[in-house]
Amino acid sequence: MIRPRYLRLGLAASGWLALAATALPAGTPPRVIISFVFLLVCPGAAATRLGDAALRRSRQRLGRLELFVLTIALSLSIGALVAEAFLLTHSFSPTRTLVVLAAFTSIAALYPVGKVRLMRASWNDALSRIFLTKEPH
Amino acid sequence: MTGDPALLLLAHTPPRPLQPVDVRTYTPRHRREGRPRRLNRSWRRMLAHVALPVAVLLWIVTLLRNVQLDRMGAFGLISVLPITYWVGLGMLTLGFAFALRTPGISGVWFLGYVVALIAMLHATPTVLYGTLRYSWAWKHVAVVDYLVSHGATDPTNGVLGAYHQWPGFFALNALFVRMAGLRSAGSYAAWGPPVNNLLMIGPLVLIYRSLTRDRRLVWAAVWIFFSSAWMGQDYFSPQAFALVLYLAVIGVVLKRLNRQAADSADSQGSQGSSAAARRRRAAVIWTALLLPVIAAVASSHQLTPLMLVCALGILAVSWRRWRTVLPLLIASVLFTVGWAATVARPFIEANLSSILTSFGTLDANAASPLSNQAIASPEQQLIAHVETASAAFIWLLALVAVVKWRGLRHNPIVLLALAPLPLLVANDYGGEMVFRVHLFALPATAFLATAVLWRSRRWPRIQALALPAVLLALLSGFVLGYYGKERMNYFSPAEVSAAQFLFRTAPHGSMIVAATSEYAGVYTDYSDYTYVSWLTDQTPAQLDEIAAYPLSALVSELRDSHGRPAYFILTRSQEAEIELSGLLPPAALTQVEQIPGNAPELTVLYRNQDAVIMELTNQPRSVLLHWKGALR
Repeated sequence: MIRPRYLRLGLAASGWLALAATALPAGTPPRVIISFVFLLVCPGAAATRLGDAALRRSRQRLGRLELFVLTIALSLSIGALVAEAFLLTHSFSPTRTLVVLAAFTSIAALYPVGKVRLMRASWNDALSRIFLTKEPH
Repeated sequence: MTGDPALLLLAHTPPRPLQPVDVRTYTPRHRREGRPRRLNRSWRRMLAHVALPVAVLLWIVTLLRNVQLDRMGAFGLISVLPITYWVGLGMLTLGFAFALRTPGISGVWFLGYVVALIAMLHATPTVLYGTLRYSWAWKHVAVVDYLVSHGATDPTNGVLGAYHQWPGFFALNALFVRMAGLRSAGSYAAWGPPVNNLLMIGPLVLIYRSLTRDRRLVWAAVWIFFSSAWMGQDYFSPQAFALVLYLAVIGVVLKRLNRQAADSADSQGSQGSSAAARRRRAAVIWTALLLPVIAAVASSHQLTPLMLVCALGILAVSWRRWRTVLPLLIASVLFTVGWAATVARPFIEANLSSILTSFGTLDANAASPLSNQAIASPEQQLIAHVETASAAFIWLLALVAVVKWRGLRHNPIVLLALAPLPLLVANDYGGEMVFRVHLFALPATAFLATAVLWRSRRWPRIQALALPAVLLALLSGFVLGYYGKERMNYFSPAEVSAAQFLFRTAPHGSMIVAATSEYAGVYTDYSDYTYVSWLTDQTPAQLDEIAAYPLSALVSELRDSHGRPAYFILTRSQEAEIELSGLLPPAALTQVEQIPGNAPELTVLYRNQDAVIMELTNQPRSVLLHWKGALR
């Protein structure tokens, strides 16, 4: 089983991987899949991780389904907002937009928010806590 | 408060601790009374587990068969789908109904059923057609392709300028197209309906889980939502994108209100300044988490931000948890107004007078576009009536729920059903407002309707039969409403080839006249061509004139190009639209079909079994020279 720490590092690297994937031949399945997954999941996962950590300090937390819904909604929203900011200012380029998204994802994924800890040794739990912020006992 | 114990009502006051029905200990009435069960539980469980894979198998068999799409009749795709599809869809529905009546079935199975429903309803046209359906989807593809090729928005672009002023959805897709190295958004846009519907599952479950602890009620409501959403707003479009985000915001807000109600019930009497500070800090974090989503909604679509303001407004005004909702409401209003006053200002200024004229004209705004279809085909009129009946049925059941359970009147789900209604007063939204209001109310009305159909203690047998019957009836209405117009929404490969020929042949600056805007490739490279839709937006008097003299009316339209090359495209899908919506009487349509090859003013450049392209050749020489000089 993959440890959450590695998943978090993977999340931090995802934007740069998507950027590197633009060097693959145009329209090839790996490039399409990496681009799709990054835009659908990664910036939102990183943002949700920070939000969940901040909520835990206020003794609240995100439920698993909430975490999932917010991850997708935030990813799509952040991607759309960054891309349209460049388009409206006539300075759009995929590299520039991806660098901003990748930098945001990396910072939010690596920002220290507390000890990462699995609650149960299950894949579902690992996935749900990847962002995560279980306070050390 | 009287009510079904399955409903966890978020009442005005801290709710009385309601006990949800425990599926492990619930005993059906017939068993308590010692009567024999009609269907053994293990049989029900087996049927629920078998129906899903069998239905999926039948669907796959359907997709592998050679479906004769060119034989679509008056009921569109319904008339050509083979029996395997209908048996599969029926099995899926009955299997789902069995699963709902079988305690202890895993949530994964319900998810599987709903995913299979979405696949069968929305991926079937995608796989069978092999081309992008629906002309509006082609239009949205054209906008994304414009952004990809120009790298900037163009708010001054006349006919599609509004899309450049709410560009969120298009910007995200332009980024994806460039990242993936695709040639056009058209290479994946056909998958819009299944993907958008799949993305709605999570937010819907989140919304419904904050209303009930009964997992099966949640999934029943999700199913009823998808089988009632015949409005067809789930294609590759900004409204579908914004609807997913809208549902996510509402889901998170309801979940948070629910949690707060539980927390305040738990911690009564233990209030302290530190707890209050923590709550305030948490409120700021929640608001900050949702801000990007609200901003994306405000910058992606004209109508959805207003729906969001209405929904948050009614929650904030009418519910005692207004402190939770108010910051989000203020953010929504600021983003919506701010966007309209800045980026979208050209559109607002250009349309201000019509917006103000439309405001308050409830009769006109609420009029269904179906009411104008007196000359439409009888089949289309039947479909229109079925759509209206389906919507009315859902609203009627929702009303019954409110009358039956008084406690529901203070429940946010009722407020959410009412929230879109004020927009009926505001605008007609191109004649579609009544559909859009129904769509935005549907997450709430579907839940209320499901609650009525749910476990009835008084009439368990009737209820046992009513639920599958209603599921089948709603799905029939969906299929008629969604597939019934596919004759004009489907574009055959021959039509796509014709469109590709047209855009290869027509030089930039040309005028492209189409019988209607229902054709593949509409608005391709729209900054380089002038697009005219000949029969659309004509007054009845003008249509009568065209029907009397179609050739001279067409030539006159083409000569408006003032010497620029002018092309006319006529396709099978346009003829279907003319016939189904009654734009021209059959005799006039026949005359239009006979124009190619019989008009000296028009030269046939391209013809295949589904499309013909003509060029206006008899241009006055002086005008043509003038135009060429202008180009230089």
